[in-house]
Amino acid sequence: MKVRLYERFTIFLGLLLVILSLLHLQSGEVTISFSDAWNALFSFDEQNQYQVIFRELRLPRTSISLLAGAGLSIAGLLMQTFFNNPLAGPSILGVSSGSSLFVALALMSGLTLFTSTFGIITAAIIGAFIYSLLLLLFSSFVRSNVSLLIIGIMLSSFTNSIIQMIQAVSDVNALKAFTIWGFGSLQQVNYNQLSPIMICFLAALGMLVFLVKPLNSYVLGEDRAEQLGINTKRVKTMLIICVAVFTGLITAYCGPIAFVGLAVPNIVKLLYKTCNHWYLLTASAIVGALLLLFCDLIILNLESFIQVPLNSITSIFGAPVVIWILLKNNIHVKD
Amino acid sequence: MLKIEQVEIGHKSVLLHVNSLHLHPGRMYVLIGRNGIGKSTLLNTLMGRITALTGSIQIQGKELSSYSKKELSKMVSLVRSTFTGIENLSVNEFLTLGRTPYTNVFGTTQAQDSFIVNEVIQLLRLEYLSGKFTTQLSDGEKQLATIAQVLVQQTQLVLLDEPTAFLDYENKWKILKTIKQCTQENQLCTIFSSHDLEMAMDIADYLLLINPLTKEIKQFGANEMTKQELLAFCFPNL
Repeated sequence: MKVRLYERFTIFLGLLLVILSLLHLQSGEVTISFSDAWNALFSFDEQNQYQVIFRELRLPRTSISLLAGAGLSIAGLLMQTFFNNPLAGPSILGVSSGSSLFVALALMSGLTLFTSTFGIITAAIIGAFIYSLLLLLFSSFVRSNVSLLIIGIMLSSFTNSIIQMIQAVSDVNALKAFTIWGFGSLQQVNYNQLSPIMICFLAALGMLVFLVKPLNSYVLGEDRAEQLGINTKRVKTMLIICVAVFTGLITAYCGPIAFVGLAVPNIVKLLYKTCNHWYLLTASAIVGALLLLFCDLIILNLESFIQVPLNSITSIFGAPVVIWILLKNNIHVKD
Repeated sequence: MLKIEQVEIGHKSVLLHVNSLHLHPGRMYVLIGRNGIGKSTLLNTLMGRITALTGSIQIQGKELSSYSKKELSKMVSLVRSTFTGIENLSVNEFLTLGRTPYTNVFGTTQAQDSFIVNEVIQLLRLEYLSGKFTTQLSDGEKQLATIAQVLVQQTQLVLLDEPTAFLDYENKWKILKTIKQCTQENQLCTIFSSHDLEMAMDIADYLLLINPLTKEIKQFGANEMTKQELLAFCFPNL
């Protein structure tokens, strides 16, 4: 009975996502016909302006909005379950800033090996991976949820200062590019970059399937999960890789997007009221994609008046969620 | 069921030692000793989380160290008294997680799994709880739920670390009677540590007493000893 309700609701969210994606694809100065959109993909004609707009601007922007929303929300949920902390998320705990640092270093190096698409993705993922490991290390020393949060915030302030120092010695163009990137943006991706991004994303999703069962038992605490026969060492490694790929990939192309990874899983838990990660992961991915599409639609519609940075919109949604969680959990902060 | 021979237990230095203990299914053992003497360390050793310094521990005739984690999860389980409830986790979901060792790599539950969960719910008369969330339970109900989850896990050796701590008199009895009932009906071998001496002596079949002077664990029949003798053995400084 209940299961059917969950499934129906998820299907409803999925349909909503399709509608919003189509709306997002059609938002902008010109309207693109279906045949142009089709031809842009399967028999591309460079002379046709509409096809160029669709292929080079609209499609990458919608796709990356979907991937970024889904990826960051999944990463956030993984971290929340793993750290047993509703306040965890890739941006707030500094994993995104780890990616940023490594991207900045890669760009600064000026070596073509590092500044290529492949180089940047790799750098961002490695940065996220190292910062996740750091968090794992810190989390074994602190017992309270709020302490871990503060450590995360300090970690990102620390890293951001280093990034600013790197910026200070880089030239004006690099500085401008990096500043825009830091606001968070869904416009930096082009058509050719979509497939490597998609491949990494799908690989991480493939790994995620094997994490669902461990995550469900991690809800009971690592100790009990181990008692139930879960190989915690392997799970930890897989989980950090997943978080690093999702966070790194998105951060490399869209900049450090704030709050999505933290807020979305909490909204999903509120809606679904379950700890079954099959539902939580699917719904987080869908709701995350919905939220980011929605934020970007706002940006697109305000474009003719003002240029709003993505991060200011996501923060307007996200920051109140953090306050709400703190108020809700005030009674039983862990230990 | 459980054979412990010439075992020394501790993290690095020896905390406790056991000359020879043979525990059998269908019996309930209570572990009594003063604070910090190593009761939890003993239970953790039996769980395979700490390796014994010397000697041999055998479960069902097989060395504990040669069990894989997966095999062990079907053989031994440990109940702690620290369960505080988990947000958005219903009692039914909580109990079903006890089937984790038996499900496939994706954690898919079969009809048999829900059958076992329902059986345990009926055995402990928890029907009235199954729709609730774990955060809505009282302390006694939370303790019952953790015991139910371990029964769902179907391990023959069940260890309980102070299952009666933090409970009122009525709930203490209820928990201990439930453990006793399950021990007999399902032929489990249960070991629980406790500081509620009278109750433990009343309900347990055997006493596992730790003498702080010799640091040795010895087994006695529950009727073999008076409370005075027990106190003199476990708390000689009293």
